[in-house]
Amino acid sequence: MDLKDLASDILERCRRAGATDAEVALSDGRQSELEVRDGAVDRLVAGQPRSVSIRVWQGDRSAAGTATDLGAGAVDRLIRDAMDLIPLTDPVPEQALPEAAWLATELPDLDLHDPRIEALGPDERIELIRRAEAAAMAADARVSISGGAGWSDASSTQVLANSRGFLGAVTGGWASLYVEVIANDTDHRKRNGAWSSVARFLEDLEEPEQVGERAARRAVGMLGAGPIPTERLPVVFDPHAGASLLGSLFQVISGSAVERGASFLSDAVGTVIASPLVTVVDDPHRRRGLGSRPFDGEGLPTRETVFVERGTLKQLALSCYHARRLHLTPTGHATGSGGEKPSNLYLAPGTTPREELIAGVRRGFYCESMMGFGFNPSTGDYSRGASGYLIEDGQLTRPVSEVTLSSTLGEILSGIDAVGDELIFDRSVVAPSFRVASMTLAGT
Amino acid sequence: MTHTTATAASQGATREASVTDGALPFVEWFGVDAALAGRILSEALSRGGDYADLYFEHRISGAMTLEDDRLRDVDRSITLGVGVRVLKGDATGLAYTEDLSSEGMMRAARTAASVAAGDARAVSVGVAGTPSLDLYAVATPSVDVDAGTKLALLRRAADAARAADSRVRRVTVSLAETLKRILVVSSDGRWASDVQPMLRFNVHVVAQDGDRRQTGVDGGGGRYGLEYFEQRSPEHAGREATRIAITMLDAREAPAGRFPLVLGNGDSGVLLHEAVGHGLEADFNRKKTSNYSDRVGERVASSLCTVVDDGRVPGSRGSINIDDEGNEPSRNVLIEDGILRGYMQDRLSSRHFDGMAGGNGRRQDYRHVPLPRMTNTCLLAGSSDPEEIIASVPFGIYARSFSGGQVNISNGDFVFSVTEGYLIENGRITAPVRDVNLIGNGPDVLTRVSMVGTDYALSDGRWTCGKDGQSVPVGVGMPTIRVDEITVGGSGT
Repeated sequence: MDLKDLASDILERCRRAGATDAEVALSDGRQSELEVRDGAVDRLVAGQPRSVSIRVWQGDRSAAGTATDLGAGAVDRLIRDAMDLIPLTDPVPEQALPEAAWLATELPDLDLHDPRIEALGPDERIELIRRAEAAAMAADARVSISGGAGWSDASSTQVLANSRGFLGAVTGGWASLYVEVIANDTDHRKRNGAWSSVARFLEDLEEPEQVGERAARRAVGMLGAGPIPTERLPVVFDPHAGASLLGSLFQVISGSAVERGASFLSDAVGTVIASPLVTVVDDPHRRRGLGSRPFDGEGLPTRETVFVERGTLKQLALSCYHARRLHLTPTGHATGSGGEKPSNLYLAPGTTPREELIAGVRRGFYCESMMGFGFNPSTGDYSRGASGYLIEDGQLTRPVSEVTLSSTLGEILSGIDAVGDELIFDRSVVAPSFRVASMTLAGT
Repeated sequence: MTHTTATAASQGATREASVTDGALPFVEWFGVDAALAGRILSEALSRGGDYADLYFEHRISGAMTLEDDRLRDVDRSITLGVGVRVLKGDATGLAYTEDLSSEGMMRAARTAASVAAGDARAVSVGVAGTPSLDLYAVATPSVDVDAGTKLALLRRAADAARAADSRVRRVTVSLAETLKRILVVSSDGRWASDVQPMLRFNVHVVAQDGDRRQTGVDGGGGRYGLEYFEQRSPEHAGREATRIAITMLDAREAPAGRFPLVLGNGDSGVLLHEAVGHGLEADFNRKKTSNYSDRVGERVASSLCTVVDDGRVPGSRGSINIDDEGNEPSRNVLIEDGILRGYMQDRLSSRHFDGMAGGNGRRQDYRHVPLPRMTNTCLLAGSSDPEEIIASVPFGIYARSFSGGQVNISNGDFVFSVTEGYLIENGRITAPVRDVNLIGNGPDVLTRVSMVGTDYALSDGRWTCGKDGQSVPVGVGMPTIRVDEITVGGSGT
């Protein structure tokens, strides 16, 4: 049965089981991974993951369930289990299905699926991986071990339907090519460098040689790295490291945190939360965008949202539940399981070339990567492990590791004093390089 | 909930595994028997693989969330699938399917077979149930208990959390439960099954005082039914979450730089998990990407440190009667009196390392390959009085609870995030400090362990370990210890 027909059929089964309202989400896809080490295949994985999720209502009460078996017997069992749970729950009117008027009616084609990816034969995939691995191993004599090079790809069709008339389907896919290599350092330490390129279309992937060379450069660059003395200094963020700060920002402007009072920005809409150089936008309709989607997890239309405009917080990200609880309007960011997620979230580019971000620093830190989870949404306290390079007189002089960077997210956003002019959409959450005037680096 | 791993290891009584236990859904509903399994495994080895296995999984999961006294979210889910795996030398092929018809499984076997390119091998499959451990003494799995009983437990926790302080603004209590049945059938004649219960209870409190907000989290669980709450009441978890949120309202900036660190017992075992555990998983050492590669026999910690990974701690979140390759879990001594003794192995790595013990082959589910993974990673008790350990520090940090950690396997740098920490001033615990990350280098930090307490405790099961995109439940445990110096990532300079 066609997946949309199946969704309609399941809604009808829910109704017959006594549900006054129902929602069903179906996913049917394929996935593969291939990993090569030292030129030989080390791992292959292939499968066709699928799932069905339902939520059923009786009046203002609801319950949910998920299964991997799309057969009629399993789906009926899923519906029955959920219906049995409903009487126990409390009436939660805010958790109703979206109003019919809120639902998306036009679903734009966002060019999210490249059939050539799944048509690629195993030998062609192996060849791409081998080229990337060989380039990494050849890039520098100090690269001595391959941690593995690989290819992953997946595609799926997702269908969402509800009893208020929404029926939407979207098919999308992606492929990724990655390499990790190791350079031996002194004192048993090894320096790993990894790089991956991910894209929805084959032709948008980086060349294998570039993926390999970037991995090698990251490994070799960190040879001899170690901590530096504790001090407050300016920090220039590499694009990928800086993008993780946007992820933290999204967390505290999402309904999940705000509605619980667990966000330091709970009451900040309309106020200045960042430097005037900061504009943060979510663009769900970007063609071929890794985070693009025509409708959200509740069937609402997605649209461009300016969350922060020249430093002022303009908007929260809200599912229907959180919007109703806060007496606000939903924004098309629902995950489908109660929370919110961004689509293609970016920090708008500024005017400063990357070299000038660094050249303008007498003594500072270039943060290439961060590790750990040190962010408290309630207070904004921010403290994470970091590695990168010391900046002296406008130049990267030596590699640094085993240090932490700390501040609060509020101070970091307010302290951004220059934003780079180059923005590359190589992930779903992206930023140009940018500089923060002062953070605490803890080291020796 | 206080064990020493030394005694816990001998408590696992053995029983005769019944073929119907974990295997039941696959045998009864899909007719999986030795003949069918043999045909699928033969297909899997039709291209010359060395070894093949089938991993059948049936998982019932339930979750309920009580938010401000309203039961808003409740669900019940069922996962069912099979993974067919083929090994050829060091290479792995895995194909999985949710279609458990014989045609569906044969298709998956053909896909997995292609990791090898050669001639077919003959397979014979037995159905002799091997004796297995019985580490989870669960009378009634939580998924089989009526939802109203569970809801009453959630309400007790929420009421206690709210009653504990008037500054509590929001209480969210959740219970997540699973009952997983697995069956492993392999081309070398193994037929092993297990029924694995899991319970996870969580209380999340938001407190507000003026414009200051804080969050407190407590909870736990393990391979238990609802009898878990007889050992640790819902009220206790509720009050703890409130206590942490209220205490942290007054937290001040942590210092930045290198200071002595005292880690409280139990949860602090996350330090071991990151600082040494991952680096001793054998796949990284097979590939020589770990900073511990080729170092067995060398000193990597102070002589006070003995670290074991023990999959046999009764009831613990990381314990397993069989691993996901059908082997009994081991009690691996990783570090003995500071000397590196061995790695944690799955089948692939144990053959690579010439037959060292396996038993740590774990996978998130049938869609993922088994990898060497930790179970319960523990630092054994020492001889110092915990009070004296704190008293020995003129100025430093005392850390009690954590939100997580991460390690770079290659260079050994690891971080872990303290959510409840305090200053130690003149040998006494004084002010709470705001969320802070600690960073160190594995072997370097462990050589700086100068005192190990007598108060060994296992963490109340709450940890999930992520590796290569796969999550598995784990346990950690340790006594109070002193680390002479570690980098504290505060903001105060």
